[in-house]
Amino acid sequence: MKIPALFKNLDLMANAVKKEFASEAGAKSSVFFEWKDATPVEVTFHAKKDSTLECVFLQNLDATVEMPAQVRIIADRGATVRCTLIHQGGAKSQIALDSKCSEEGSSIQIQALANSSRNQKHAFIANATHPVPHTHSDLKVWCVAKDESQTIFSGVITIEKGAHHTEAFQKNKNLILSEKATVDSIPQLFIFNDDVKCAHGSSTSTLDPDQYIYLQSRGIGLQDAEAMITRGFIENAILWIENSETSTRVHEVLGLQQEESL
Amino acid sequence: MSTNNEAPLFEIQDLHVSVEGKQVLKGVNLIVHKGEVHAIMGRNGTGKTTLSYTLMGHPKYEITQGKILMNGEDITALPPEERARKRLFLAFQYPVAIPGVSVASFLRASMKSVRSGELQPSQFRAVIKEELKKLNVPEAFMTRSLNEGFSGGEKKRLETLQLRLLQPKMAILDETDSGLDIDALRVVSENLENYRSRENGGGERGMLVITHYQRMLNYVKPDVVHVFGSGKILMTGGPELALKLEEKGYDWVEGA
Repeated sequence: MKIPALFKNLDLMANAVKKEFASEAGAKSSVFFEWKDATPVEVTFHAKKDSTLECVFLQNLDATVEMPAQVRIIADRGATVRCTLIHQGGAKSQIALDSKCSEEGSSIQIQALANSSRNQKHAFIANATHPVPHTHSDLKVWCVAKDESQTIFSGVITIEKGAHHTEAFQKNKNLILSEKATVDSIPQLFIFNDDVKCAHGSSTSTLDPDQYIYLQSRGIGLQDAEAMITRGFIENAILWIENSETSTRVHEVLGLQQEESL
Repeated sequence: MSTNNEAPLFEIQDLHVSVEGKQVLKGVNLIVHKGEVHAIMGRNGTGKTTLSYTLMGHPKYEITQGKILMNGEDITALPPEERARKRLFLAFQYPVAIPGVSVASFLRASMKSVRSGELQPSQFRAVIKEELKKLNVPEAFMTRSLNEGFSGGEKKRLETLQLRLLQPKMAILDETDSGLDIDALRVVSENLENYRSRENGGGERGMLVITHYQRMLNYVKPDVVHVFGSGKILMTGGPELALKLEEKGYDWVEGA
């Protein structure tokens, strides 16, 4: 199957700025990386043995920038990674995401968001690899496409020979807010072993009229209802960010007011 | 109940409604005065939910004839949010889930829109907390996504909570008793009855309770009972009519 990509030629990546963030074995840590400079980046998040790493990669490029990035996630034995990836800025931007549960007992959970408007083009090209038994990965990707924007999600799960008792999931949900916006979604599975649990799925929709009516029936006008439903869709991807400073910054860049507690 | 010449609180005049080209309501007439509770009972598929959605202004339901009036004002052409601001309320039979929108933010937005003239936003929190207690709903409920993963009982409690927070003048309850166990039915029904009680201002309010069963009407006692069939009201009577339906079923009405 042909995988769409915004950048066919990745020569630019030869000059990428490289960053690596690693959690210490057994520790719990949190990392935030905001990509603002018009330079390609290659970022690695590495959770060492029995550690928990929460990492957030926020693409916040200037509106005219066209740039690819590479994100690698590695989880060692018994480690857990919770990663959030966000496309917000730029004119054309692609995140190639390679995640690898490198040792038994590792788990990688990823939530990704493309919040696309105007003429923006945002792509996630994801590869989840399971080379060893007893690992787990779960990728959820939410794409909002407004105006004349375009989003692309291409996700591949590969379960290598011998990697029994693997659990791997990918889900892509797209919300189209304009007739001129487009989304592409290609989830794929390559399974070379029995005794695994795998699922992938994709759904694309416009705003649900029943959701509108429900909010309107509570006095909320049409425009506010649309904003509330769209915001809810976006919050699905970012609500789980535990680090409060990171969450505040992400909400700020996305132009969302943070929820008050009751 | 109104005895003077003021306009009825709520009036449906000769309402005909089509859904996707098929006529479902075929001339519904109903008058609810202040302080009255009306019950509509009927079989499945007779148009009761079509009636409730139409009264709230769902655009899928096309009014081909007739009017809806509130306090004498024609609200037939108003969008749902305008009807809500005039204090019309529909407790949905199947409340829709909106993932990512917290119950708290939804309730705040809704109260701000409907009750901003009488309550400051700073007062919302205290009012919500008080009503949560009455419905035995934990505060943690407020951080959940709206109706997402809610049990049937939780959805109906949330609908009841909204009714109590938004203080409608006219409330339509579309099978609020469905999906409730006995204890939940009692809590929800007692809160509804408390809401319509005269001590709590119920003398100024009206209610239209759509239900299949008598059980909810043991708590929310109706003044008038209507039997609905084939897209219109077939028979009207007092509270005893609900008991008779429970005993004899609907064949008796349709054969009468």
